[in-house]
Amino acid sequence: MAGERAGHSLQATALVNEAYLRLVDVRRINWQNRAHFLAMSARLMRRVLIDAARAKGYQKRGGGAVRVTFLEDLPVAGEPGFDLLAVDDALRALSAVDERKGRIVEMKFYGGLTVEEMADVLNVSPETVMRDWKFAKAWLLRELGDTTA
Amino acid sequence: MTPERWQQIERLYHEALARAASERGAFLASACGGDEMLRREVESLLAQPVSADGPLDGAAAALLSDVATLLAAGTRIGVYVVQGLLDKGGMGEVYRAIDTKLKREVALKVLPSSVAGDAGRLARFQREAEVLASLNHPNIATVHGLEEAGTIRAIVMELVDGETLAARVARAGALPLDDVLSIGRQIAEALDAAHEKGIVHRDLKPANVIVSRGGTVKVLDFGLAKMQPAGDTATGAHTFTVEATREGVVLGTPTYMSPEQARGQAVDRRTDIWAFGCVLYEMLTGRAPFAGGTVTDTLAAVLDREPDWGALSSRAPADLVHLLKRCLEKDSGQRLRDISTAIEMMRGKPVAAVPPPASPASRWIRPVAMAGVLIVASGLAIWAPWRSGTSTREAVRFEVGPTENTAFTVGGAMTVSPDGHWLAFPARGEDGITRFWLRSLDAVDVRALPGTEAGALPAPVSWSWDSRFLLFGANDRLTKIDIHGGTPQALTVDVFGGLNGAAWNRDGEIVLGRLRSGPLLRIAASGGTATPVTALGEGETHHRWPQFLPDGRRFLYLRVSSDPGTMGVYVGSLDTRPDAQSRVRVLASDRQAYYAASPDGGPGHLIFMRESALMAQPFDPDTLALSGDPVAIAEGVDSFPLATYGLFSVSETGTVVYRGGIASRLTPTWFGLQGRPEGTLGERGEYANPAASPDGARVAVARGPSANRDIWILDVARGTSTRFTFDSASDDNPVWSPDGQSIVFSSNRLGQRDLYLKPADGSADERLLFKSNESKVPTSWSSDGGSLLFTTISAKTGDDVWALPMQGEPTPIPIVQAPFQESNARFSPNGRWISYRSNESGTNEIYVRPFTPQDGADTIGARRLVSTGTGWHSRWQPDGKKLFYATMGSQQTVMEVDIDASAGFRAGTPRSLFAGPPSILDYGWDIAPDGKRFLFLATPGDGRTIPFTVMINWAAALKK
Repeated sequence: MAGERAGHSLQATALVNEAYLRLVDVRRINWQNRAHFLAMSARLMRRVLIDAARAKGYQKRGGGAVRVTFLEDLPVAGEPGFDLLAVDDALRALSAVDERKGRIVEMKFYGGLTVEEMADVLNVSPETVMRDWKFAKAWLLRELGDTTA
Repeated sequence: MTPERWQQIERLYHEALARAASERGAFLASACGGDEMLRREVESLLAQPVSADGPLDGAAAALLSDVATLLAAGTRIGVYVVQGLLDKGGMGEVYRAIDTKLKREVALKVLPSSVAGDAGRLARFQREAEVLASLNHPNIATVHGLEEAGTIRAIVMELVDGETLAARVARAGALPLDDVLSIGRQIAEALDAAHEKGIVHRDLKPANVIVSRGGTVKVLDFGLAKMQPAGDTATGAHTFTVEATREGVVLGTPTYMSPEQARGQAVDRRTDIWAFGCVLYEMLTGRAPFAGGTVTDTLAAVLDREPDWGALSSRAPADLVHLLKRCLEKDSGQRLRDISTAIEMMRGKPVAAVPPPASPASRWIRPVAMAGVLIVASGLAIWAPWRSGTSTREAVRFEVGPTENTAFTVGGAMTVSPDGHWLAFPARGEDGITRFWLRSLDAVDVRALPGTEAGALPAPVSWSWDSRFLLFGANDRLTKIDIHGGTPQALTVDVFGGLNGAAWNRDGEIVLGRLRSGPLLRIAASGGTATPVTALGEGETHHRWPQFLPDGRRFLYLRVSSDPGTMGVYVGSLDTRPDAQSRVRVLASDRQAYYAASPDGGPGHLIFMRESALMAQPFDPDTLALSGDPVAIAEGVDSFPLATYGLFSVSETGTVVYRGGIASRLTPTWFGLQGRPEGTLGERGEYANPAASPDGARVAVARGPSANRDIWILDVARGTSTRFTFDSASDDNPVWSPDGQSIVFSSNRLGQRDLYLKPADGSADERLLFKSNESKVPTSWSSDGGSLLFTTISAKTGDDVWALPMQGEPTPIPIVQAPFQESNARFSPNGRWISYRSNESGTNEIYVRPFTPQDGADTIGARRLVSTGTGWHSRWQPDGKKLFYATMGSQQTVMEVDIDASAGFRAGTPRSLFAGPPSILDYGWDIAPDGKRFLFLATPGDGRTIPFTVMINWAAALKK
């Protein structure tokens, strides 16, 4: 909120709008609380991002520096090996083994929920969320790092 | 991987982490007991960085954004020193810089890291830049070279001072013909020089053309579109225009994209010629030839539709139009091939087919200058005396006041019948009862309509298509009555809160809107059940003010939304499902627009408001296309902002009725707790948002026309007023500090509304207190001085409540941030609670919650609903034991609620105190610090002083 990040992506704005557009039906539901709502929007945000990336015909690339050009007109910067699609695949693998950790990553990474909010949604303590997050992050980083050899 | 294994790994991971790094190896060795795979698994996880700012710690969207850091002034890039930011374009930022060696100013275009970081791309770019640098032409911004510093790569270009063509058109509309030819010729010459060298621009558009003060044109960014990392070079990057909105920047539409680009085919010099045609067209008409609200619509226009050639004919000589048509030929094989042809054509003197217009078409008339000209007591008045009209029928304007035995209601609106014969309006007769009256426009006939007593509320009455029936809300039901007499009949539609527009077509179908949240409904005039005919879109709260278009099936209406990009006038259809109604916005607007047919049968106009001016713009009801430029036809017209209603009405015969002056005739007035006026404060004027000082000795209030509002301070005892802010922007929403020494207010001098702070005695200038991308409105300052509540207006999350710490770090803390509209938050006197308005339940209600900023935004469970029905604008009684708020029902009522916050929080049942004067909600109110009276901005008690103005044949004034 305080101060705009210069160069903040044009797509991010458009994406948030699109994620919200998809929420239009969902909003008829009587939200129990904001955290629940945000968890849903995190999931949608993830779908929006991945859909858009796939719609452009981009595939996860292995090895070497990876750039995902998200929308043609606005270039993408990222860490070498940091590919949105790769993250999504890794996250899927994580969720298959540990659903709660997958949800935490989804909520934190795609939805920006706070630890308290995630604890609220998952009905666990914030400490548990932190623990899960630490481990999940390590696991994901390892998985993603492997692909760039 | 079994679940047990997984848990084992996880457990070991955390246990190892809990130990000192030096001990981990040993711990794992013993804990894994020889299971090598297990040990390697855990160790590989432990090897990952544990920092809290890795790429996964950020937001996913950040992975997409170009993390371009803004260069600060003084940064050195090679021999260049950055002076400041010039522009933030689609492809990185452009800075003004000084060449320290040659002592000249240049423009530095910083390349995005995806290009700069990729050796292959950078090399290719370098080669391109060499070719560009060889382009040496007075109309092409020269590329001096490439420069680098660390990881930053920049293109060094000639710094061109001047205004982009895009800015010029946005500012002044269509250009005079001479300018079009001069600028067009220079662009053509630039293109010609580049094409000679085999360089294609690929992204020519008004934003890439700069016109210097002397009239010299420079075309920028030649060939740079090819530098994009896009794998697909056919659809160049920049063909998507970028639009700036109040909330930030959004991706625009491919307005200048050629058909072959849209089809993904190869791009060559003919693409530039297409774009050139677009630019010429836009210079001549003030609008791009292919513009749609969405990407799809724009592309459809580019591929399938012809531009509105009619918009040109009176302005451009025939051969220029011919050139345009050849440039905008959709088949690139048929298109003009060589730009040099265009140069020749534009060098010659124009053959004027039609004399140029006496004055540029688009002009915003300054309200102050206009005010005196318009209103004439009675009889004929020729409007717009500076236009030398040769029209045969002139526009006639006259005022309509109440007759001898009647009085208008202060908030009443007058509507004209479709056939132009009648005016309908609420008025109070000799018997003291307010009901609807009719007044004939072509005969001496003024009469009351018995049976309409229950409906004569501020909401304007609507007409049936045959001008025979009136539609209004009475007893919360949609009611119709034959104007020739008869009993009113109620239809089974609940219009609690107020009817906000009803349209009745030839087929006997009625479409209606309501003051309270919801879409438009439809119902048969003969009766039946009402069903929705539109559906609220994302962020929308109301659909209102429908009007049928001539085909009787489609209708105009207003979508009210928190998102300024969505709010506006749309076209719906009775033959379309509610959720399939068109989302193409016809007109961005904060109030309704009506279609006024042209009496001679041609395409008519859309009549709408901008600030307090009534505007007309040509509109084709078949193609739904606006064309030309809007022209102001009246000034100082009033509105009901909450109802998003401008006080004007149009007939099908060329008559427009409007009412002006309410907003400028407000008087700050004290009202006792029983609702009786107790005295005024200051003179009549255009006020908003009064705020009493904590000691009750002064009142701060915003004053003046909304575009240029300032804060004034009224002295309660002496009745004098002193101006407090002087900026030419709109300063509003004053909030006093608890010690009465300072005032916080909002001002849009930097674009969006930011918070400013100034000593209340005016001893120093205001300073910017807090700035951010979204517009903000301050609402309340806690009694301990520690926090300032303010509302942010965000398209993404709706209005939200934040608190700004007034001591220490001025970093705002979100207080209520649900995906609904929360606003108007006020501290309780002891600062422990806040009341605010939220529409989470579907209607606006008042809630109270504990103020615990340390808990972060929103502990939903802790909020309590206080109002019943609807609630706006709460105010605490100074002893904290009562909360007052206003309702927005069929009347605007002040309610009071007993509050018991001694142990926990309890609110009693709201009681109605009194019905406030109309418009108290529209302009703001406050409670005196002694809790004994309210300060409202009252409209004149004597409604007789505000007449209506009727304008007959208004369109005649537009013709030349």
